Amino acid sequence: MRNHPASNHEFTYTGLKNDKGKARLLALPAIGLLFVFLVLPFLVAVTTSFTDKRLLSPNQAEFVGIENYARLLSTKVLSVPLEAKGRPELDFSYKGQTYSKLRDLLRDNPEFNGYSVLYQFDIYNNKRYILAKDPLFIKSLFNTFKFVFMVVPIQILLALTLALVLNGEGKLRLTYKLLFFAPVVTSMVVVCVVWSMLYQQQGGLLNTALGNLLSDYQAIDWLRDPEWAMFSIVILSAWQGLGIQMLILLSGLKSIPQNLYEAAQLDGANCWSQFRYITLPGLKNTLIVVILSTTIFAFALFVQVDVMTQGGPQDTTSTVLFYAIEKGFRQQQIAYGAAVCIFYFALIVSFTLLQKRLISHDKH
Amino acid sequence: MNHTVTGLLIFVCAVVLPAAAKPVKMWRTLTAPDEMKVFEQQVKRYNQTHTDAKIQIEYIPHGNYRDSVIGGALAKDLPCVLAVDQPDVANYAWSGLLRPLDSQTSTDTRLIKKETIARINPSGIGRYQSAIYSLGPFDIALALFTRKSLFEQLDVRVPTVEQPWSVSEFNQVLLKIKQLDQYKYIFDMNILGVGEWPAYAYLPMLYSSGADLIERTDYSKAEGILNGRAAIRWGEWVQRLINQGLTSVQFGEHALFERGLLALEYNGSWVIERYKKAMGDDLLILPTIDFGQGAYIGGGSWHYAITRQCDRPAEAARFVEFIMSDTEIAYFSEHTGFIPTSQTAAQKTTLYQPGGELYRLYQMSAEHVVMRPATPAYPAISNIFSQAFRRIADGVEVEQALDRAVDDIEQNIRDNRGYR
Repeated sequence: MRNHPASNHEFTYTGLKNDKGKARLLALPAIGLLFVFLVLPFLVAVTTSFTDKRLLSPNQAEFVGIENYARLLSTKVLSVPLEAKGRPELDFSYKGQTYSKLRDLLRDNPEFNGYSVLYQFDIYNNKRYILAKDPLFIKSLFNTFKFVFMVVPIQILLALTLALVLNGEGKLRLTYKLLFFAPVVTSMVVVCVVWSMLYQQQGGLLNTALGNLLSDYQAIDWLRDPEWAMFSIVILSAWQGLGIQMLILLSGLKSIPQNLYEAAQLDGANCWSQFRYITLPGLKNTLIVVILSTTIFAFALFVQVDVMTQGGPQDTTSTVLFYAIEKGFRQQQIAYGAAVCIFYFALIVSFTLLQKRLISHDKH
Repeated sequence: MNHTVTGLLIFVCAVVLPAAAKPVKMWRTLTAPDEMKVFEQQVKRYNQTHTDAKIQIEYIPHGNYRDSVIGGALAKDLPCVLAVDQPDVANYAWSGLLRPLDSQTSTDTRLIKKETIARINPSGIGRYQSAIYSLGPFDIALALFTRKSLFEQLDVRVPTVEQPWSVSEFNQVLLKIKQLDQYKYIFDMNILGVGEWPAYAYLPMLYSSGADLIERTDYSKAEGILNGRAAIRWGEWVQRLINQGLTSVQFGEHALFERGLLALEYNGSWVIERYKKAMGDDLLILPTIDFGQGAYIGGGSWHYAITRQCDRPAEAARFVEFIMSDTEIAYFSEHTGFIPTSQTAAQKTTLYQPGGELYRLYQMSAEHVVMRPATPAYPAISNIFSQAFRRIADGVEVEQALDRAVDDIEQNIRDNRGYR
């Protein structure tokens, strides 16, 4: 067949292209609003991030160069020999001095001023410490990526499955579509409060259900166990958000011409082949949009953390945006918060560009 | 004929009044409806006698209040009279948002009479350095809530304000309640409380242990204060209660105390009305625990302040004087149940006069109160302490959690050039 599925939903409306003056005039209000509410604040944020501005302060803000960014990313490695005798973890020797606590060592030596431990490990009779000026930011960054790498595949696979199952007409299908879409239009705060109850260790619905299914089930404290807290947020977020992806994928499915399936059936293709060689290629552009937008939304994780875990337990759910709000607003260090956001913005843009390149590359 | 008169009146009002009575604007938090109604009554009465400078209130939702003040400050759009949460006063005063109401050193004119300030208890006064920036007509108190019927079965001493429970006595009480095995949950200290709650509720415990959030002479050092032996002992006590199952971080149900599932609760006096409705005379309110340096409660609730950008400070001050008069403090307390912040006003109330039903709460509020540190760093300190407390509740080693809080607080102070 000559017509490639992608060309099916290309539309060629060139009316405005012929009248550029009018087009510019019509675009003006939108561009003006975007400038005032998007570009301008962004520029202000960039400027702020190079100063030491406070939210409320009688002092004039001073230009500090890249100091905020340097503090975000500064790391150092400290290596302390493990003492063979006695209790090694109680003694730290550095430059001829012995300290009972690592913190005392760091506070005593000016080269470690402002540093604290990010990560530690033992290697060749040495205890290695990775120190950072802002360990919580680096942890938050890792946590956010962990969240993105978990939630994007789960959410998209679930949304795709639902879209495939619910594709078509019928009252029952419509009801289910509405049901799965309902969480999207529910306030995230409400969703979080409800799910906190489901996740309770004692008497929570999830643990009660699992306890009835599995005889030797040890009740997991979903939101307060460092091993599980992030995963719990992933599941909740996927459930809350998948309705919108499902809807987009459904409309993508509708645009695949039915005659392709008919032809395939005539040729004896089974379900899997139909899915692999017709549905997936036909959905390609839709999927790219869905993957990119889900990723960007996932990077913005904040409400769930703020309502359910406050970044805990043991910093395992602290995310970059949560950290930016804590620092920039609740601790009033707006310049530092701005630096976090600008750095994060640059990171997301490059990540998304890379992702787009990778996905659109496998042309056949 | 009648119509002409009315018409004329309307005309006179429309032309004359707006010129004469430019209202004095005020911001206040949107709180419980009955409390709002009482406050509106007060303002209405004030406005009837002060037609030249009527107070015009704008209500702002509780959760967004701090943000609104910051926004208003940045946009130079604050009202004349500003309700402020007392612990934020030092931060606002340092930022230059507020006018001193009374000051020994400043050249500003005195706005509030000396006699008024002399009447008010410490928890009703918001200070920064040597000046007073805010006054508050009411306070709340922390207490232990339990049931009389439970204590008739337990063989324990009932604590008094003069002789509160020591922490070891308290631990014994918890164990006895556990042995009794009548209650599903033993003790709730609201560990997951957010916002101001951790600093408000646990600072008195820290202080009673001999620790504090920060050293209080020049407010620049937390090392050895927030992470000293005393603070670590207190943190380990919290962890021990959690580990022994005497308290929980999270309970699977709601309204535990009213429904008789919980034996003992550490909470603020705002729950009294709800609990009384649920259990009537069986409710027993006890003073807080003594961790070694005496029993304390947190002090400082919503206060009123006058902003720098107010162009009619004298008129604004007249309203604050009115609200802080003994008659009005007593009126507000009688109708809302909040604790009055002056001895002479307390005598005019039924609940808080000597011998009154809640007199011991007044005593705690007047004499055993620890204010949150009056430093511009306070909002940051409060936030950092909340995180540290949360980590302690999560089981992180106490010393490590507190060391980190100290580092964060001192870093914040350095970042603000010492808040000078």
